[in-house]
Amino acid sequence: MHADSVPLDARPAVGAGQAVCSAGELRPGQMLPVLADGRDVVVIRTPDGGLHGLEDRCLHCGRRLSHGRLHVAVTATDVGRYEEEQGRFVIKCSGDGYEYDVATGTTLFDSARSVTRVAVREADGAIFVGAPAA
Amino acid sequence: MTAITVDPATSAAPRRGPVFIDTDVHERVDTTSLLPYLAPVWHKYITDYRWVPDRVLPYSQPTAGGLDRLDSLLPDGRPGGSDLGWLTSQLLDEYNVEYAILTGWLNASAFAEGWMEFKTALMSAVNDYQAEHWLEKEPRLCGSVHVNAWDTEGSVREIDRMAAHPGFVQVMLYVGDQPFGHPRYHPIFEAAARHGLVVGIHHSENSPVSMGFGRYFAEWHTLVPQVFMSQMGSLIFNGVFDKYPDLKVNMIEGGFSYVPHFMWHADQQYRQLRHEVPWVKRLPSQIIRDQIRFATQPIEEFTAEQLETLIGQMESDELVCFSTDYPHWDFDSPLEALPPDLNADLAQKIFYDNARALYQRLPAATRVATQGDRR
Repeated sequence: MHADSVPLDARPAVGAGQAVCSAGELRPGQMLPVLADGRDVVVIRTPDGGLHGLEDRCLHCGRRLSHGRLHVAVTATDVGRYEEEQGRFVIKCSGDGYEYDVATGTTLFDSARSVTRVAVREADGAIFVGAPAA
Repeated sequence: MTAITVDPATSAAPRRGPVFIDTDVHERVDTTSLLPYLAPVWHKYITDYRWVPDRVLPYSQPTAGGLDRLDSLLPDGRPGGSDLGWLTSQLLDEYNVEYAILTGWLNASAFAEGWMEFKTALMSAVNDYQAEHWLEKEPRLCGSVHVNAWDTEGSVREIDRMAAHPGFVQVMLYVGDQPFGHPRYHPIFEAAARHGLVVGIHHSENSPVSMGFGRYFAEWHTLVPQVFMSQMGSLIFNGVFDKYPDLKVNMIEGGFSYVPHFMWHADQQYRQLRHEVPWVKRLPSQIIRDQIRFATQPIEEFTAEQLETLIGQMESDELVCFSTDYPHWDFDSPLEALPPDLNADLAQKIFYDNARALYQRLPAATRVATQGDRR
């Protein structure tokens, strides 16, 4: 399953407490857009198995983040020395290129700007979407 | 240097005005005066081969005084800024200058790259001459360490050498035609920051604008901010300010009205393209507010409202430092350059406070700076 392959009308639409998919359906490196209680959410399974949820909307261009790309964050300590930040993953918006830390929702260019985190959990072999995370 | 005595009979009373720090004053030395400061191996190129700096502008001169104010030319034919007595009379005593920062005219980054050894030696001679004939004779003058940017190792040696002299407050680069953010130049910025020297980047004739030099001086001179934006972009996106967080840069003779546009545009590029330049850790506008300042000249004719709006768009009133550009043709007078009804606190910052905060090596204040009587 790749986010780009999920058309809008095919997004799971769930209410509170309902599973959005089975745990096995969302494999490492995949994102799933869902309509949870009327809210657009992207559920992210990072390559290391972590599970995260963010509001599925870019702060700047409004595009769905689930149509972007999931990458390891890139940093550097000096010009030209690109390094991957192991264990830190970002969604890069498919439109304007804004990068969001999937664990915090914070943009990589400004720690004061974030998309809303949404609580997600895995239980009983399924993935559930809850309220906005604290 | 021959001192010229100003004839009191022809001199009007000084005009004075606000106490200020002038961040761009051009002293001048002819190349033959540098001979005592050059090793003999170089002499023949000046005395016999008549080496002169590159002259690349394809235009007529802007005024009857060439690039100088006509009244700054000396009676013996020397160009403006050649004589301490004349400069003192026309600038330091005429106005209420607490300190004036010398920016020179011979700087290797205003020349094409090549023959590095000669140009490095020439910069050392300029610095030694500046110390002996200007700084040590007039305590209101502060110096700039001229370096040959094309010779990075030589530049660092020169910065280390001249930093021992307390009269020098900045390292001088001319804006040139090469982007100084390139890693080859980073040691120059490291050395400057290590010694608490500001890096002044001054406009120069070897700076084309984006489509070359254009057909007319007015065309080229209108677009001077382009090259400053290029240098600023180069320094920011090549990580110079993140690498040297104590570094301060003053952009000189490019004005400052372009700054809000650059901030907005660079911030947006950074938001969208950070992944390409991950060594940059702050929004460009924040880097500018933290580490870059702008000399005012050549200032536009602003109303107070326009200038206050512009400063507001920069989101800081600490970025702009007054400069006259004496003795050049487009000299800005401290009595005329800022709108008379400008907010007094802002005027105080532009005339004085911002430069004092920027130049950490300036001597202590000599008097209380106020802007109470600006006319």
